[in-house]
This record gives sequence, structure tokens and C-alpha cells, in this order.
Amino acid sequence: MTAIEHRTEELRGRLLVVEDDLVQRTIIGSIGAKLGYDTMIASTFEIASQMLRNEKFDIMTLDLSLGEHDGVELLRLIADLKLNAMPIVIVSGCEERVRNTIQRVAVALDLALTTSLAKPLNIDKLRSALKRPALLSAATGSRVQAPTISRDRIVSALSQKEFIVELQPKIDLRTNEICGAEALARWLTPEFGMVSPAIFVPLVEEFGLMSELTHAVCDAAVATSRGLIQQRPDFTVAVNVSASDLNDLTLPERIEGILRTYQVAPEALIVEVTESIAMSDVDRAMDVVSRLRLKGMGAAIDDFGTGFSSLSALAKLPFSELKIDRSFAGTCANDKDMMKIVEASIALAKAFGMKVVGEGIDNPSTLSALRAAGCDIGQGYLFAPTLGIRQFSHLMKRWDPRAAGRFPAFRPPSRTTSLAYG
Amino acid sequence: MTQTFSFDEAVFRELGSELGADDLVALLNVFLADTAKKLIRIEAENQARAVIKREAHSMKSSAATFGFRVLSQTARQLEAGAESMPQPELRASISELRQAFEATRAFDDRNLLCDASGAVA
Repeated sequence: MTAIEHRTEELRGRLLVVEDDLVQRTIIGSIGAKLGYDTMIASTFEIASQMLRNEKFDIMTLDLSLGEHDGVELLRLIADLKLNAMPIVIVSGCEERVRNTIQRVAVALDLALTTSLAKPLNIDKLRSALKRPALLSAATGSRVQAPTISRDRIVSALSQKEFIVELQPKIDLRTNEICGAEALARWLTPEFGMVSPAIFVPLVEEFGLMSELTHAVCDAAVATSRGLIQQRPDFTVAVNVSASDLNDLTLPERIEGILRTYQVAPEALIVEVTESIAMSDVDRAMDVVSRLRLKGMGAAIDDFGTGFSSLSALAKLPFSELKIDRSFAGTCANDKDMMKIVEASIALAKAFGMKVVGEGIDNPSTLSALRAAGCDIGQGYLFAPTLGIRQFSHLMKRWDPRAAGRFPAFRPPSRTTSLAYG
Repeated sequence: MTQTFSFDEAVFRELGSELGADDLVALLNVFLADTAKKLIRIEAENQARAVIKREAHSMKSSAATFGFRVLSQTARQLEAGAESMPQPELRASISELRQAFEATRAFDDRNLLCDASGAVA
């Protein structure tokens, strides 16, 4: 164990360098000291684990190869010790695919992994990684206590039409025009303000009111987008349905009733079903999805690729649209493994005659990667977040296809802010 | 092997500008001493191939950090073949690594150790 004192006027914090190579740890220690860290160096797994158990560090760098042991074992120890808030910079000479997978292991353990640097070390990148730890995971985010909500309160919200929708634009990637929107449920309450679905959906499920909520949300989605559909006949609005909705074999008729009330063509509505829900009871899903399609509505498979039976879902259910999950689409520009999944998903969708939607497009590089892969439609913060109907209509009016997607129009929300309120 | 030394001065200068002249000289000494020890381990009779691979892997990265191209490339070739090369080829590859290291050390003695402060000024 070696210690190097900080060489700046102010102390930035304590850095732990876990590295079995003498030259590399001398470089990292020296850069750390120059940035204002008191640096402790651990050259073996055993020393590192002892130090992590007994001392407190503000940041650490971790070499993934540590003689007999490896860095993944140390990541597991860090999770066991509940040091989830300590930023970790991975430094490794192993191949990119292995580093990427280990990065995912760290995220799965809910560790505060900041970045993973390849060897030979790029000193500039190392410096910025140690200087401004920008977390990849929401490990340090704190959730706001959920308000207590009774079943009666939700029943009254349903009758008072307190459930509304916000719309996130979907962009045709060939023309850059807005071609539709995904409607997302929001609950506007006088006492709590806007309540996010992360809070109310579990409650609604617990109280057995999911079918009523879906009806209310479909109604709100069709009512809200009716004007847009009248202006642009090819405009589509998508709504999400839950597992209990798919158990209800009358769902297609109920949605058809709503469309008739507002005199909206069935082609303008897309029903989104997540892959895991569709496959949890595939017989009922086949019944419901095929009748939605027979009635002229679209059906999208959502979060594609995240479940255990993605291929089976495609083969068995007549979906018209495939939504590549943001965990693939949003990362494919920088992760070659994810890019392969995205390309294969697009090829599969085309083979089944489906349109492909890429979700989580937050930056121009993701957009160009998805466009190059043949993705038809895009959705994400690069274009717009979810918007109220007034903001959405305003966006449609001033939309410029030439400018869209060239730079971020909106900033994604901070990942460390509360999930409780939208 | 036609070339035993090639040096990427821009990489070396960048390292120097981050570390400062004193640290750069100290680090270069650490590198030379550490690499000499690694080579002795690699050259040991009947050394386990896994050890050869691990030491070559580490030399590859460290040499590249300083911009010592040939040393890094030679170490990379040894790392890649350490588990599979027949014994005569393995000996030849280790001997190439020794030559590349000696050439690097000679170059350091002539130029870098006395010139490091100038290189980063």
C-alpha cells in the first residue's frame, strides 16, 4: 500500500487506485495527486478489499485484471459493502467487448460507474474522468416519498377525468416530419400536482382498476389527438396497455367504441404491448392483438429485446410495429454489441413487414446510427420530450424538418432527480 | 525484425505535460526498472506461459503510454502468441522483446532522461 498526498492547495477528496501494474499506478497516482486527491494505492485484490472495508474513499480507479482475482469480484464486494455512491473509473487493457459487459455488470449492481478507459491510458481522458465524475447510473438519486392515495381517491379521479395524456412526437426518419405520437398517462391532481405513472400505476393495479384506467387513458389519448389526426390524416397516436388489459378479451371492442365516439379512424391508433406482457399469456395476446389488427388498428411490440421470448413473440403475434428498447437503441452508437442487436432487430422486423421505431434518441450520433441501420421512426429527447397538447400543437406548427435532429432541442432530465413527479 | 526502436514523441510530450518534468523522469525510471524485472521473469527457464502472457500484456500498455511503439508492438505479439506459439518461436519472440527493450533503454539514456525537462517545457 502506498499513499501520495494531494499536491494542490485544496483537497479534492480521497482516491483509491486499484492497479497491479507499477507504471500504471504511478501514473494514475501522480495525476490524482495533481488534481488534489489524497491517493491510496492498492496493488492487489486483498489490499484493495481491506482498504474498502476499513476506509472511506470519494472515488476509485479499478484495473480489471488483478492477478489471481479480477475486477468483477471487487465490483461485487463494493456492492456488498453498499458503497454504491462512490464513483468508479474502470481502467483496463482487455478487449472492448469485455469492458462493455463489465460496465453493464456495474450498472446491474447499481454501482456508480462513471466511465471505462482503455489501456494504454489516454491521460487527458483519465484526467477528466477523475475531475468530473459524471455518473452513468442513478445510484445516488433519492426518491421522494410517495403520497398516500386511497382506492376511493383513484375512483374519483377516474370520474373527474383527472387522468390526462402527454404526447411524445414520433419522427419519420426519412422525411424528418412528425408522423405521430406516443401518449403517456399523467394524473393531474389538485393536491399533489402532476403525479407520475411510476407512482399511480402500481396503486391502480393493486386496487384492481387497471381496465378503468386504460379506458380513461385511451379516451384521453383519442380526444387529445383528434384535432391533430384531422389536420394530418396519416398521424398516429399510440397508447400502452397492461397485462390485465390483455386478459380482457373485450379490449378491441372497447377501444373501437372510443374511436367511434370521437369519429377517429382505427388506422390512427396504435396499441402498444410490452414484450413480456404479450408473452405472459400468449393465447390471449394472440386473440386480442389479432382482433385489434382486424379492426384496422396498429399494434406495436414495446421494449423489444428485453424479455426472454422476443423471437417467439414476433413469430406468433401479428404486430405492425416494433419498438426497439432504449437500452439497445439509446446506446448503439457507442456500443458495437448493442449495434449488432439493433441491426438484427431491424432485419427481423423488415422480414415480418413491420415498421421499426427507435426509442431513446438523445443525441445526433444515436440518430445517425439508427438511421444508417434502416430504422423507420425515431423518438427521443433529441427531437422532443413528452409535451402537453398545447405545446405539441405549437411544436407541429413551427417544426422544421431540415433542422430536426441536428442538435438537441431539449435536455433530458437529470437522472438523479426524483422519479415521483413528472 | 528490421526495426528495434520507434518513438512517438507527441505521446511522450503529452504525458510530460500532464505529469510535469520531475514526475516524468521518475516515471521513466520506474518504467525501465519495472520492465527490466518483467523481462527477467519472461526469460526465466520454463516460465509458465500464462505468466509470460500477463507480463507481456502489461509491458504492451506501459510502453504505449510513453510512445515506445516497437516495444509495445513486440510485447503485443508475444502476448497474442504466448499460449500457442511453439517453443522455438516463443524464444525468438522473447529475444525480439529483449532487443526492443535494450534499444529503448539506450535511447532513453541518450535522449530522454537528460532531456525530459526540455521535452515538457
